[in-house]
Amino acid sequence: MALNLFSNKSKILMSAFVGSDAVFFAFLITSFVFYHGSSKGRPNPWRDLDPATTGMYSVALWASSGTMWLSEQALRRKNPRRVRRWLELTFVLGALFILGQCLEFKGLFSKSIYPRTDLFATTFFTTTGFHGLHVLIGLVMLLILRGLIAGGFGREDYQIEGYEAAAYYWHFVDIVWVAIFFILYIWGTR
Amino acid sequence: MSEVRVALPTIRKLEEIGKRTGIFGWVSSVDHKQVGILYILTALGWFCIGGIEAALMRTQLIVPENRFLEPYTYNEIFTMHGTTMIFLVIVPVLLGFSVYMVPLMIGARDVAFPRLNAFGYWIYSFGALLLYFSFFAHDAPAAGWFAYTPLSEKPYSNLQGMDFWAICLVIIGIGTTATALNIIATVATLRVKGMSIRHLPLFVWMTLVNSFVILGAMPALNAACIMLLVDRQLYGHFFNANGGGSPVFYQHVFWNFGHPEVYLMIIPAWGMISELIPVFSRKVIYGYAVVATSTVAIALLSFSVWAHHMFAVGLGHTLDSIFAAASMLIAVPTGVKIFNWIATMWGGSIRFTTSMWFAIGFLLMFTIGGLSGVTFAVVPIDWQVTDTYYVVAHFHYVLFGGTALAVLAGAYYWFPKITGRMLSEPLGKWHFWLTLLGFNLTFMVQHSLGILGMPRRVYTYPNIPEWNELNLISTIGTYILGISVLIFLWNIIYSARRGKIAGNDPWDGWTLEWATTSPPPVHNFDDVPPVKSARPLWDLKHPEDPDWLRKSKKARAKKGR
Amino acid sequence: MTTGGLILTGWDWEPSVLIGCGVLVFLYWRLVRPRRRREFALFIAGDLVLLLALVSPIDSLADEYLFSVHMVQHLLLVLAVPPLLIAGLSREFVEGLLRGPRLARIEQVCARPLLAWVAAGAGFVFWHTPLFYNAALAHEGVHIVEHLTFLITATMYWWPLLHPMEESRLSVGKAVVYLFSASMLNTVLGIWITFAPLGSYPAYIQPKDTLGALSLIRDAWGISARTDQQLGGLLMWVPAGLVYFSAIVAIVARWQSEAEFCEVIEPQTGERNGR
Repeated sequence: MALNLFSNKSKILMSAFVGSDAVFFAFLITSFVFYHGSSKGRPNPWRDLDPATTGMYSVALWASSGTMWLSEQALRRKNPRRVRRWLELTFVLGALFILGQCLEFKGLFSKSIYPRTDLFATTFFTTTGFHGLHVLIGLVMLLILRGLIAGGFGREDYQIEGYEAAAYYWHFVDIVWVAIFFILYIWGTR
Repeated sequence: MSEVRVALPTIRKLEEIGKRTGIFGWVSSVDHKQVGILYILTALGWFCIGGIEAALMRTQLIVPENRFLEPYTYNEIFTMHGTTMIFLVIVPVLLGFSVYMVPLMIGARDVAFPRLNAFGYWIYSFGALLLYFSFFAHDAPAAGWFAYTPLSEKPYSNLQGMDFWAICLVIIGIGTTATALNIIATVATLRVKGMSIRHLPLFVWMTLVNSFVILGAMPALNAACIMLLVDRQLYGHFFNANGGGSPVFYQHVFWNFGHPEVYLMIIPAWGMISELIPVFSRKVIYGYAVVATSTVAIALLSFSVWAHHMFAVGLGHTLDSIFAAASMLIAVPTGVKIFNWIATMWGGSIRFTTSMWFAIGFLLMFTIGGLSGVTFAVVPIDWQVTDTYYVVAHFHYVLFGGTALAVLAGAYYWFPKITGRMLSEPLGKWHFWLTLLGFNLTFMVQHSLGILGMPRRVYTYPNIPEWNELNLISTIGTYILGISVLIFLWNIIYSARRGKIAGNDPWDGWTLEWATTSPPPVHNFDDVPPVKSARPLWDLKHPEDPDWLRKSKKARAKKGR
Repeated sequence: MTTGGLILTGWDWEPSVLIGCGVLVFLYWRLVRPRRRREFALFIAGDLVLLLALVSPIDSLADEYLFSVHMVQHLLLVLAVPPLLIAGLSREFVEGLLRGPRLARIEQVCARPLLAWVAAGAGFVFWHTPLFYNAALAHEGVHIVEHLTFLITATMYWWPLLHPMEESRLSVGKAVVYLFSASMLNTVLGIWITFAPLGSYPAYIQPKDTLGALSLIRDAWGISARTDQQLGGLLMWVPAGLVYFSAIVAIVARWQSEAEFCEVIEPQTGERNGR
């Protein structure tokens, strides 16, 4: 399985950036793991999390990686209508994930659980919050890509490479969520 | 071999090197040369500000029990001095030289992402201004440049200074990361045909390796600053012991950035030295492979020694010992380079230009700083002298005596290429000797001050005779340094307008930047000479004895053919 | 029990290990027919390290007393033995082996870097989860499977880097990523073990003390259970990390000095190479 990560300057840039961003998330996740069990205040603070519901929204996000990949395939096959369709679906799935996150945060706030409540909440909100911010930025990126496709972008080889490089960001955001979901919601709530 | 058309020397005015002239031309430029110059000049400006802060500090410390500065103001000044010098001066000036020189040295027209390049500069500039705005907001950061918790948290730092610090460091860090990414993409994809990665000029190689270190280190800083902001603004508990957090955790996260950062600040300087020592010794670098490989070793090891900044925190003997061993280990590849540079000079025909003087000064001062650094790897010594003036002496020897002297050497080396005119050698010699004198007066005595027990970051000290004299000497040294900086500034201003015309290749150099005009045209090269070795211009000028032939002869002899 | 006494009497001459190491050398001598002294010495060294790791007091201390010594044992099995054994194989032997279609197929599948990396990494993580680690300590059979897994996956891991046919080795860029990413895995788990509270590996907190060495360890050597776990985690993190880093530096050094065997490239007239 040869990953074409380094075939062009945009891909090199994005791969290196994604690597750096992964280190950032590693620190946030480490803080969660390190402090798990040190939280003072509520006993079993993870009881307020709902892995099942969040899991549903997570599936949407992970599915969006699949649809993004399909749009990349369509671009390589020079089929702009397909590209647009899969790209829009990716956006919708990503937006659904953000909606789920917002609802989750809203639910926690309504139970008076804020970053200040205790250490579990601090590490939880910081990690998932920054991930959500990355997804939002990704959504903006998807909109820009959609606009470019509408303008006829994607005919040249280097443009296809650039599109795929941008897609790396989206896939990265998904992979990070795999780690966050399993560590914060599965391991963290046992 | 076909004739290569090297562009005829023409005098291009510095103001006209971009596509558009005037202020708007500079502000809107995405040309790597203009962005590089902006970086360097901005860093120079902040260097003066940071230097004024240093002078203020030293003036406060000239006599015991001085009240020149109020205690809290002193805290703000030393915090801003450190933050300025590290984030607003050293890193940007190194990035500036990288961004200017790397495309030229690899025979490219520009960096891979010119707009990203400009973005990196402007976001740095914006972050820097925002940071200094804190003075006007009546509270500059005052918890030291590494902002340990709990001092940097509320209620101990209740005003907004620390928020400025954390936010601005993230902003500036974005620029640094962007430039590092750009350099990687540029070196990976825009090398002229024939320049394999193993034929990279050492400055380019070091900058490339350094870019990876940046990518590994900046995220830790971002994490530390963001966690601090969450604690301060959202009342989080990351570092709040009452809430179950740990102030020591901050130190772990911060120093995961902080230690690679110090290597970040020296590796490109080593690259500069590796370029100009051979040219001014008229001798090829001794052991290119060793210098290149040891840089990789240092880059890797730099991520495994951070806890040596935390020996006094109580991590336990086991942890201390492992990190002490790793810290001693990292001195080896560093020291190896010094030998390589000395071996390059040995038997060479040395030209004592100002640039070379600064390089020699670098070799001496950096070695002293490196030696004092290794003493810290011995944990009991660290316990005694950490947070004293011994530490201050150590890091100034490596950062000023090391990086700054190397950058000055690079400045004198590359000023002709950048502006088309030579810096004045007589003024340069005054600059060098006053710098050397002032620097050593300021910082050599601080080793003793530290061992005699004077702590750092104190706004005054009691009337202790040994301390009094040494502090006085140190402050006088600072003023001498100030004079040397003024001489340098005057040299730059005068020479940029009236210096001797440099021509393409004033130093008889060997790397590609000397194969075009000074300053280079917008498109950098009319024709790039053929590249078959790490010294393409040597090969061009010495067709009877090119590097690649010598090497392949050596290789054939080795194989016994 | 004194330190000297432990060194002299703490050996566990497990017959299966002795036979196994002997068979290995025998097979090597008969099948590989080493001609170069260096290769022979390296292979024997690897075999000796394997023997030492499994029968010397390292093994006795590892099985019962000290998590950190068990870590040393595993590090020897994973970072010392396979490289030495592979380095002992001659190029001709491997070329001959790979002429056979079935063996070539096996090598093609098993030696794919991604698979080798994942196998070694998965084995590493699997066997350090408390459930399985403690099971290995409790049941000898599981322990043997654990050691065999380490040896086999580690050999798979080092194969693409140390392949006796140099042209089949990983290129320098890929090798650096391959090694660096593996060292990250070591780092993460090592940090976790170093800073985690006691309790994941309970057998070491109150050892059974069949050798009578407990007072020696706790009092004379001064190693508490806490220090032991910390040390174990640190060994996995720093010295093991240094092995990976040294491998990276060695590969980069080799690649850099190979430039002496210069590629003679036709002169170009300034074509820019923008992709």
